[in-house]
Amino acid sequence: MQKNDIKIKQVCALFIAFLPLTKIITAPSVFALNCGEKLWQPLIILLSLDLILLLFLIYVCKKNGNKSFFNVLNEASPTLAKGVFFIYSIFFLLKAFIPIIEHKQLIEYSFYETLPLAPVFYPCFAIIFYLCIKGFKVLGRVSEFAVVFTLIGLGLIFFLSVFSTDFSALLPLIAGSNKSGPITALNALWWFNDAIYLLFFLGRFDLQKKSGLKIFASYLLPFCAVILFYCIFYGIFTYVSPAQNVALSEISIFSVSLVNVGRFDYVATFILCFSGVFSIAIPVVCSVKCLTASLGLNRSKIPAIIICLLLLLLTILFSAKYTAVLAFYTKYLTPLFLICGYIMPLLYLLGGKKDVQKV
Amino acid sequence: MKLSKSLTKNINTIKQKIPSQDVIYYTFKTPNQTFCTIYIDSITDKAQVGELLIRPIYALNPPDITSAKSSLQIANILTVSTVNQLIGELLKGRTVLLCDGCDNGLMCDFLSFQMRAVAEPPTSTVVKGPREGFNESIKTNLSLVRRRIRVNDFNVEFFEVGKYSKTTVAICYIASIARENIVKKVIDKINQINIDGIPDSSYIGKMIVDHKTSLFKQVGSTEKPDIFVQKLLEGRVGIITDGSPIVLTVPYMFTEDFQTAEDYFISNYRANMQRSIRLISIFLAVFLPGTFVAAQLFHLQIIPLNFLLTIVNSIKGIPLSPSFEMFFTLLIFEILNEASVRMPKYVGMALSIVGALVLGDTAVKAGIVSTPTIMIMALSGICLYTVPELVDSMSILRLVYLMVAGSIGGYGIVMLSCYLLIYMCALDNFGVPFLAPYAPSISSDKKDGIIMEPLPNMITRPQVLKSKNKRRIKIKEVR
Repeated sequence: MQKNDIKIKQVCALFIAFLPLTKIITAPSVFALNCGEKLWQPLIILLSLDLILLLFLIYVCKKNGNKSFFNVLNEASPTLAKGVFFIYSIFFLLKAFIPIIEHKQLIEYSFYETLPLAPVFYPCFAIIFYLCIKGFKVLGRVSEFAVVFTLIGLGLIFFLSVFSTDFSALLPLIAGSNKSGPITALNALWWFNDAIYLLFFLGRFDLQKKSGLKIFASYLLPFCAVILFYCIFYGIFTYVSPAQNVALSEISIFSVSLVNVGRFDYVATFILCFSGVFSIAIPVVCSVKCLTASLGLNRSKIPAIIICLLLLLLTILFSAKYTAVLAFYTKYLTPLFLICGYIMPLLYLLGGKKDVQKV
Repeated sequence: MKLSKSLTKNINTIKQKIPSQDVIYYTFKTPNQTFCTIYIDSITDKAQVGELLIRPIYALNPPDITSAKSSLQIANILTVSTVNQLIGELLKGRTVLLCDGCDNGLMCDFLSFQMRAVAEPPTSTVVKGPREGFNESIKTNLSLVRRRIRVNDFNVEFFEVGKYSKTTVAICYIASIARENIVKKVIDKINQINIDGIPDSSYIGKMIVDHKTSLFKQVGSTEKPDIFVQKLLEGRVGIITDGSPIVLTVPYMFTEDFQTAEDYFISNYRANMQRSIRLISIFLAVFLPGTFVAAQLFHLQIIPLNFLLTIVNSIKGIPLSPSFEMFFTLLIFEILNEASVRMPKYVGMALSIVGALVLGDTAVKAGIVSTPTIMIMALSGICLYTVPELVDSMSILRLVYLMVAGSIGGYGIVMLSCYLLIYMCALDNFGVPFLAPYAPSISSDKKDGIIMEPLPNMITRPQVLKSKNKRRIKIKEVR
């Protein structure tokens, strides 16, 4: 693994730019369906889980001298390293699949009503493949640009929607707690758990003073923006929220200003789609990197072809059956996401000593 | 092969090696000796040859070449002893003096070319600031640079490039600033060039870049010595080619073309406005035609209602589809553009009339193209020329965006932009990221980015170039 090919600024930019985008398309309506006006509760649970993982990773990273996860496992046992990375490759593949279908739905629903979507959407896989070949270094650089687009896009969406929101539709924080919150959180792990990416960035950047704080803040702030988005979404649509499948397209349509300036929210959605392409690519890039490491290859071209073709095939076969896919994930894949996302990172503790070269 | 002691034999050997008729052999006798001057007629100052070489030889009557060398008062006079060396120097434009009975000769520099005067370059005129521009003579160009850099560690290294043209190429850098590995890489790349001839510096530029098929230029270029010197002072390496008024600088970054020399001579508020306008213009030039077509074909909602009504009224009865209409107008624009560059100036007026009236006005009246399309094309065309250095790549991108937008609409524009961003982020030349100082983000370098800070705040040289000497301004507090 290459050292110092990504900078701490880029890790922060990556979280800010891409963290919110996979969570604000169809997930809000699923949350509204399961939790109603308490839809912020599972978000708080998921945020807490992610922040614990993030703090753990920052801590062990500092303790172990910023060794890469692969090196840590490889020192313990090469077979273990390859096995774990193969599991993570599948994990990221599955983590990427839902956002890809969502992204397709967003494009279909928002922009194209008359055109067959296949020739429009599928070239997206070529972009993802290209990014997979270029790797984390380019992803880091891209995120520095994309952060501007995400902030503009989200800012516009919030501006156009916040004035139509009835925040009283949401319950107070303490009241009305029941089991639906934790269960919804458990069944939504594939949308969240982005702190896991940091595990694969370890060893690639130089730890500096206050790096941990910067990463923590850059994770917390966009997550808060996501919570705000969900609140606004429910505040606007209240009990009909579950019926609004593509929240991002629907949230700002009641803005008065749109009458005068045209569908300005449309521009914001386009801008967010630009960042969205990269956000759906991150788990794919991670999957490719894990597969490359587990197969012991130097170049990631062949793993990238395999992963991208597999995802393309899955998308062609199952994108029309989104509800069934979600049901499958909920029924069978929750333990996998829980183990890979929150328990397997503990393996990093195997690398107890600091990297001698680093010291 | 060594020179012979026989003058006749030497002359015959040279005549055999260079059969060209513009090589002049002037044989003259002094009381003691027979001499011969050899030079190429078209590139030698004959008056100087007579005054500074032949006349003193007559007057001083030296018995051999060694005495002649010590008695002549000419700078840069060298001795040659082999035929190959003599021929090489002769072809470079030097004058050779041979003497009967001597197995060596003298070489003097009486080179004289017809050249342009130093004038303001047409591609980068300024309202405020120096108006000098490079011309086709490498010596003049170096003198313009030397006038502005007067330190002992300003290095110039000469190379001969081109199998037949033997073009002189000079690499310039300030040794205490420029990074050694960049200088070494440039020298290596230039040494590797094996080509028939170098008619212009752009040949060098194309041969030394890492990504030879890239759409984007990867070598900086300028016609102005003040800009060139400024780039050397930042730690770049300059390349001056004989016969070309355009000098090159490496490494190159994308933001360089949005900066002009004038930005540093005017108020930084005004400069920021101008730089922002250039950036916005380039965005408009590339995206506007495609976005307009995509909006008409796939995303009508994006257009405000009143504007939509105007468009609907103007496209009523147009036989072409929006994408083909825009493509057709773009094609006409490119044809007019190409013709206006190639056409003799005295028919330029006719071209303007044909372009503006016949093709523009009449096409709208005849209902072939709509007014908004003409307007958008015109705006895009004008915007493109706010950054002339980017015209090549951006005009192609505009066309690609138009085709993608016409085929799959706005999401096509988004995907193409994603591809371009990845491509540009991955592009490095001479180890420097193409999109620096924005990707990777370098805070101190952003002081001279699209938004520039006042000159005294730009304390360090661009960090991305990793110059040896990082600081360029030392401010002393004066009370």
